[in-house]
Amino acid sequence: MPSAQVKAPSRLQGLLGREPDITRLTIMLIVVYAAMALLRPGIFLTKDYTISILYLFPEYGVLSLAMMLALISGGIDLSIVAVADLAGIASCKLLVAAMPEDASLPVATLVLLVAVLFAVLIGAICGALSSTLIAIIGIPPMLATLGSADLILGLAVAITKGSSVKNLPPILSDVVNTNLLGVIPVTTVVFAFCAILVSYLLTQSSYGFKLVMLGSNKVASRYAGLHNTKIIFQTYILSGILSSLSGVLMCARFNSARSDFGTSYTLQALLVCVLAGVNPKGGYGKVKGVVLAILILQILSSGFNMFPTISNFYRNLIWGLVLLLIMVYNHFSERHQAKKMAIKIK
Amino acid sequence: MKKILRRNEFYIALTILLLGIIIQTTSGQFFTANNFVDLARSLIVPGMLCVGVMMILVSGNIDVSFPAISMLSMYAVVKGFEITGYQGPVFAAFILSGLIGLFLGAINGILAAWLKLPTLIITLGTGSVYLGFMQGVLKSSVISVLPKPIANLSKAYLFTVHNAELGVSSSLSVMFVLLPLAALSVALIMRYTMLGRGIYAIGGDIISAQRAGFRVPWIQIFVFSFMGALAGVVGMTRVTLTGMCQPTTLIGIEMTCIASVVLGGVRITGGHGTVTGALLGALLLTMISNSLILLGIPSYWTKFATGVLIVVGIGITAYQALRADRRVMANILQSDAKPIPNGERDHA
Amino acid sequence: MQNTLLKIENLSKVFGGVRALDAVSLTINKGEIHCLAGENGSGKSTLIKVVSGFYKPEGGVITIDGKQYGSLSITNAIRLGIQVIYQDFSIFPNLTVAENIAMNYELYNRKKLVSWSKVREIAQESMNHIGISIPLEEKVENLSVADKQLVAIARSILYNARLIIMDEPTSALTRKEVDKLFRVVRQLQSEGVSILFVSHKLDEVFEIADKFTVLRNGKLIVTDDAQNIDSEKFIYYMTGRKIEEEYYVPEVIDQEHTLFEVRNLYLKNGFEGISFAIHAGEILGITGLLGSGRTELAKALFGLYTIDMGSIYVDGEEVQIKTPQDAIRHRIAYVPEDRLTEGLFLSQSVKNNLVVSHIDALLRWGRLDRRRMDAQAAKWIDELAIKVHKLEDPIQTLSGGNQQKAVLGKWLGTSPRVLILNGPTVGVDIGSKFDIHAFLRELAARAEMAIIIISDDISEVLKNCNRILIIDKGRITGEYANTELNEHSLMQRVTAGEVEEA
Repeated sequence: MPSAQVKAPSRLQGLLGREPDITRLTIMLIVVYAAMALLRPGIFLTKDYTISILYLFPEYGVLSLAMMLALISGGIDLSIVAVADLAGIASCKLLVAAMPEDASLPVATLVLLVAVLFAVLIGAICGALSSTLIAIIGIPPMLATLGSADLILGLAVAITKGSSVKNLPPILSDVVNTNLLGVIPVTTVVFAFCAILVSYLLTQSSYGFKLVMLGSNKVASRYAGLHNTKIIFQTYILSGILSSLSGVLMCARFNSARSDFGTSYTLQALLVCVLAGVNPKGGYGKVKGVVLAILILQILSSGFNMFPTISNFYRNLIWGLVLLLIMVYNHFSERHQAKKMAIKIK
Repeated sequence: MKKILRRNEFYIALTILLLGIIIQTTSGQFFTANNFVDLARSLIVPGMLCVGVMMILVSGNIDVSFPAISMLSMYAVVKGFEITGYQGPVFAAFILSGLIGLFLGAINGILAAWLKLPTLIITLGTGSVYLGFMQGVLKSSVISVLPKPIANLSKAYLFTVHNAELGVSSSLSVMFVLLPLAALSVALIMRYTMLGRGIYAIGGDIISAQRAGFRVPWIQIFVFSFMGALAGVVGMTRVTLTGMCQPTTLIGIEMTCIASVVLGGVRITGGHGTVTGALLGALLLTMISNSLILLGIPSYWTKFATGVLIVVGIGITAYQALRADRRVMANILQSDAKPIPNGERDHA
Repeated sequence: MQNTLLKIENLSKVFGGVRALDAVSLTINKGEIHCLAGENGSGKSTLIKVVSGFYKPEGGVITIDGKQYGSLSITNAIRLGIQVIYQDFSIFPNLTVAENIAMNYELYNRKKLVSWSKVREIAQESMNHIGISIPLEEKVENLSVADKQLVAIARSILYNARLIIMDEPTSALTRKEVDKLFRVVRQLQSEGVSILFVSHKLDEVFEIADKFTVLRNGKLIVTDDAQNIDSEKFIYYMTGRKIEEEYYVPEVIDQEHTLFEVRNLYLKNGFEGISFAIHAGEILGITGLLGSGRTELAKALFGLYTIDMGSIYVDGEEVQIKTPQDAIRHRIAYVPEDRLTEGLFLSQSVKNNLVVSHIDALLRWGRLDRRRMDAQAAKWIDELAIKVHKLEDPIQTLSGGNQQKAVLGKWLGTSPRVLILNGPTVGVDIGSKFDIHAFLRELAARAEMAIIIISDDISEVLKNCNRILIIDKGRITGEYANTELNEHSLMQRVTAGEVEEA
């Protein structure tokens, strides 16, 4: 019986390291940054501009991490924005209601903390809802999260009666909009924390291992004795928690809470994941890749702002095109890989 | 009779009837002529889209770009008419819109067939491109004064009914004829042409379909092109019904349509579904959103209520399928193939 | 020349560097019944797919009706009268029986519109032709496996087929149904139709074929008249070896020590009245046709189905098995039937595949202990002689035999008390097959593990299990010591089928 032949990696591949997708992304990042810097050095290379980039991306950066987890599990989470909105609204309402008049700084901080924890709780509950629909009722993740998104967003609209939560105590925006050491926005720190946590979970924990296996083959996972339901719950609850943090960040930026924040973020998060090489069918994804992809997209996005002639609407167009192009590229490179691997097909 | 009971469509119809009775008892306004006309009117756009969505899902694919196709086609045509001052026959608008939609849908089909990428992500991408094109390149905005031919059409009615009790009247636009037309064409294609059977075949088992000799890529392209053309026509229909051209009017309707047809028994995994089911599902959801007002539910709870009902409805079908998985379906314990009485047995 | 229907010369097919077919030449005459035999991986499936147009060959010529072709398209092949019945039947589960049967006719005649009365007529006619009766309007997904196969056969026995290729058509059929099938085959032969019959069962070659061809490793080994074959030669051609496995007769069976016992198991629609016990040192075999309930039983023992009635005892203690987690907790392991979809994580490394089922035992302070993971993986690669370059290699690159060993290794890592294997050597090369069998015997001899082999490979069950249960339509219809039987007598009992009316 012919044995499989595995070709030894070429020298070039050895040079590119064992992580060709990360290398590719790093190169892209450098190219994009350089291009922007060359086009408008006066604006792009200033400290303020860099800080604004760092400030903005965590909102959908955290959402991208949420999306990534769902994708790795072999599913998708289309409710991330809805959860963010609801969590933001809920925590802002609590913040307004529980904040005593003329609260001192320590008290205000405490109330803020409680409000944030409340947001996280809401996120977790929403995640549990999606998980129940997916793992216990058996609705395919795409439909389940579209459905739960409707429900969750509907709740958000109902609570705010279509308007917004206003007159927030200043503590929220004060804390979130400061820059640590003068240069690092708090939002970036939040994102960094989330990224490190997710990365740890994926690479070091038993949960992460099982998640990847589940995403690779749902049936084999069950047959191997993995507790698929538990893994799904852990995943979507985590996704919900991450989404809730994004919601808090958005409320801080706008100093209010509305049910229509971040509507384009779902597509963006998906785009980030696809660019980062996360397999939309499940089983593979790296936080490193997601971070690089986020930075690339943010630089591009901020870059568009430097050219006032390109209206915001073009953004949708370009994101869509980029998504398609990446998928085409991924498809062809996958075929190339498969041919190289000498699989015996009966 | 037993066969009817097994069919999903029966239960949806039953639910619709029950819901109608509930609404009638609470508000007394359901089984009125004017409510029915309102319902019919609201059903036109989602109904037409749903039969197209049904075809897509049966083939094992998904399309979330059709609202964008709809809006882009309709805006392009209306704007074009406005700029050129077109005064000719109005059906040209529908044909043009349909052709643009056909073209856009064909792009989806070609990407799906050639590259074999997951169609959810393909259509998410193309949907954004089409929307972005309309908003960015065409710089879309609301057109409240329609070109004459279209404006005239939007005032053409089949008939009008009056509700003496409430003192209102409802009119059924001529556009309503498009709904049964669309439904019938899809039903005929799906049931009586090899193309339609091919769509079911692909949704059932794509490899077997290839082996049997079906031209799978062409069928995929057809399905998406048809959806696109239908979406284009629906876009113009929407303009005519509302009396203005609002380029964001259909955003989000993809979810409603997909949920409707799934409620109507069309499986998201492909291969199963009927036009009847799709229409019933559309009717159910339309009833729900229309009637919430009659039930006295404030408008800002509408989205939530619809969301709950969708989730519950889809959940029920999904849970049944899940339970079936955990049980042995074919009856192993009994003897399977039926014995043939001796007289009829084949003599070799 | 006039008599030749199909001639293949020097046909080759390459997949990414692997020669699935290597310059194979074959001739089939009109009205000939030709058996194509070979082990899994010999190239017989590939050959079928090339002839039917599903694959394009990388070399060689196909001659039909005197015309030469470098390759065939699917529609072309169908047009030329080549019909294939695949092992998985290639039917549409979501469509009705009538429609599935009539599908060929419709497509062949390039029909654009569907006439449902014609569809029903064709389907009924075809079913009458082979003497079966299945409700026309039933959706195929609701049929039993045997009925599905009959639908597939009914479909291909239609217009203008000049060569019908059947890929292992008898796997789900009882003796009576096999007889019926062979009657139909002979009838077709008398009508001038040729049949290419893929099988690895010697009896069938004897019984029905005019000529036979054996493939091994993609190469043609021999083509000859069916009367010139005997069992020894057959094994030699198929495997290239003259190995005869010995019957497994355990030295010691500790009757006092019952490792695993089940009483009166019942699963709705699946099986009933199942009882057996396994003592230390034994290997129990369970065999039956496809659709007999054997897989359902295996799955129920592992918690993939929940039994409705009955009790299960591991080491004398009664246990409740409702989920795979329950099963693993009680040290039951299941090597599944379909390695590719149920047993392996194809996109993952060999290492990950080996440690997945007991990953929680390989943690240090809550973190994955990579060193121990590597050590475990290396241990099983060594003990089972799995041929692999590096632990990180994707498991896709392993041969079927090595993949199966990996699945076995995955479960051995959980230190099971009960090891259930369903079709353990399907699609496995002969060397690995014997390796696995030898290893299982060794495990049994250690007297720590109850081993159950569920298989439709008569020879495998006979040689490796000291006790054999026959399952038919969900019930146990016989229990024998392996030394009481031979291949022929066991096969007879398995395919006894419906009880004849006296």
